[in-house]
Amino acid sequence: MEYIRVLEHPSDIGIEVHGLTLEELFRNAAYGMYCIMFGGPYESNREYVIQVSLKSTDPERLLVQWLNELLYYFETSGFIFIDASFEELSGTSLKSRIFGAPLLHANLEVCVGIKAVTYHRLLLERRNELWYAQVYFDV
Amino acid sequence: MTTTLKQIAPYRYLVPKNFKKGMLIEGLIFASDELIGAIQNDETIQQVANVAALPGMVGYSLAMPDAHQGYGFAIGGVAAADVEKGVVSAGGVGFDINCGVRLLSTDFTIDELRPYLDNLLNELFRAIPCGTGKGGRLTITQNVLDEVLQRGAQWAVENRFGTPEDIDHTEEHGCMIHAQASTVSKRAKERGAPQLGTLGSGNHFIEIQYVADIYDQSVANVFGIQLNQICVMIHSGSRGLGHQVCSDYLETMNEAMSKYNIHVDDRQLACVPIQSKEGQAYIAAMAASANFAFANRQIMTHWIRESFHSVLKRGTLQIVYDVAHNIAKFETHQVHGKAHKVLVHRKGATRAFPANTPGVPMDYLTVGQPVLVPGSMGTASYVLVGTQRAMEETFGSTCHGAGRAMSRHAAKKQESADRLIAELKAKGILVRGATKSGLVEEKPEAYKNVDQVVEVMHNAGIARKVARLLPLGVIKG
Repeated sequence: MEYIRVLEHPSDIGIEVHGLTLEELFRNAAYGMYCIMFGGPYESNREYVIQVSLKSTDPERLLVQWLNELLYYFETSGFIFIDASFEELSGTSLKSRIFGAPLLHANLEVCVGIKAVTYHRLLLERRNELWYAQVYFDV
Repeated sequence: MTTTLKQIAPYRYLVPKNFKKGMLIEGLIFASDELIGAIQNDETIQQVANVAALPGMVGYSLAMPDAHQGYGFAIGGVAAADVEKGVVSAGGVGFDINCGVRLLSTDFTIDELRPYLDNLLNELFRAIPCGTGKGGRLTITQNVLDEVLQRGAQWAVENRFGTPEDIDHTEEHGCMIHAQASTVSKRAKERGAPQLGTLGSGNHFIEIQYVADIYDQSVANVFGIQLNQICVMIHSGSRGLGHQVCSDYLETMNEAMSKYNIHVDDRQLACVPIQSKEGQAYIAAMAASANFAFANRQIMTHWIRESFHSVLKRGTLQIVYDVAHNIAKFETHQVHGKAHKVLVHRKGATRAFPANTPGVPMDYLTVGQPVLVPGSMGTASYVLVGTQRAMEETFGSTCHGAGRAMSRHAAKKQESADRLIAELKAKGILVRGATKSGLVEEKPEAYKNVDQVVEVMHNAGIARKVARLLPLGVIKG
């Protein structure tokens, strides 16, 4: 899990993630957010598929929207993210299929309840060969 | 970090306009020598300055002694926007809209209750769903949820979750009148509907406390508080519904800002003119979320009463008061000697109105509004009373709690749940928690010293101490 690092915040928590491509970065950010929730790396099967389409004004906002979308599915149906394929991912739009399973089918306990994704110190940028992002969550 | 903070009076530190380019008003931070260091060690002052740069803010951009770095606004921040020229910021209210505190007094003494404490905690833990994403005991339709959003605690009382007297002791009578259920998204309603009547997670709790000290007997008498009396404190908010409303309107505001020629350094500060259609829609959705939170605390109050009756076979539990500490409200305050209609953003700050002020319950009108300040798990909580000085200096506002001093991650690294539970038990405090991890994050050392925080407000004359309560049993979400 060297591509995900936990960031400290006085009241909440954040992650720093990187990926070779924007797709990998978005996938890692999603997995990182769920790792915070479950207290570390986790596994899940891929019995559910959900289509996600998002439009935004810039990549940073798109990342926040992407993670908020996953949180919505987690809270309303207990959806645990495990992977995503991207039909489209530009700086301002995204079409994806997300794979996972309901929490009820997994032997996982929520350690940290993430309630929202924030814009606080939000970063998404290219650093040499890697895409890099930093995002904080309200817990 | 060194700053150009200037102490201008006891407990008052000025953030001058030249601290940061673009500040339109000055900042003012309430703190003691002990607390100002922590405030300087994170981004609190920067965030106070950022808020001071928002259009139409009046008076000072304020921070209370429990202030710490938040998102956009500092937690413990207060800022008032001119109703005609100012802005409303979703981040200025926060994600958990109308996160607040309710205190119930009982007719039990500590000696009468203690033999039943273990059973009572078990019953409360069974009766009140808590933890992340936990659904509640209620099944409500979309139409009923809309009624809750419109009418708040008043809906709960009409549906047998309380008494009319409960409403009289709830801020805004448990119902913010600007609410419009139609401005709350379908997603927010989907998240909220199963969570009505649930405690939540994070720092939310229900605590059985006893009154350990009385500082102002005459005011305590008016509030119905006596030495050694058992009280119950509830700390909870608008759950996933409020979070979704905040996220939705952060997006709306971020998109709309350029239309109004507003630029902010931090997107979490996204804001729009109060009089704009986006501003009006947010205010209506925020009020609806606040009503959800009032109803939520009212429903839990009902189940707490049932739990007492189930375990102790008797008991009268009355609401001392219910305060919102993440909210924006239209109020009239004196600014530079003139009455000014403003929208007061309180993000992690409590209203603290004095005697003879509209909005204070009739039976408290002679003394002022109760202010409820919860401490960290295992430490004291306080009942204060609002003062005229708060009206003059802080838009009628004061602190809201101890304020975090340590990250959740750091707290977890330093503590084990079993050791924490044992330590609290040794102090006579029993704990039930939805998760061990959640317990450890809330360990007392992760917070500032609430006694010091309250002392600042008391000594500064902003809110006076009335009573100090100590915990006996804690349910952590």
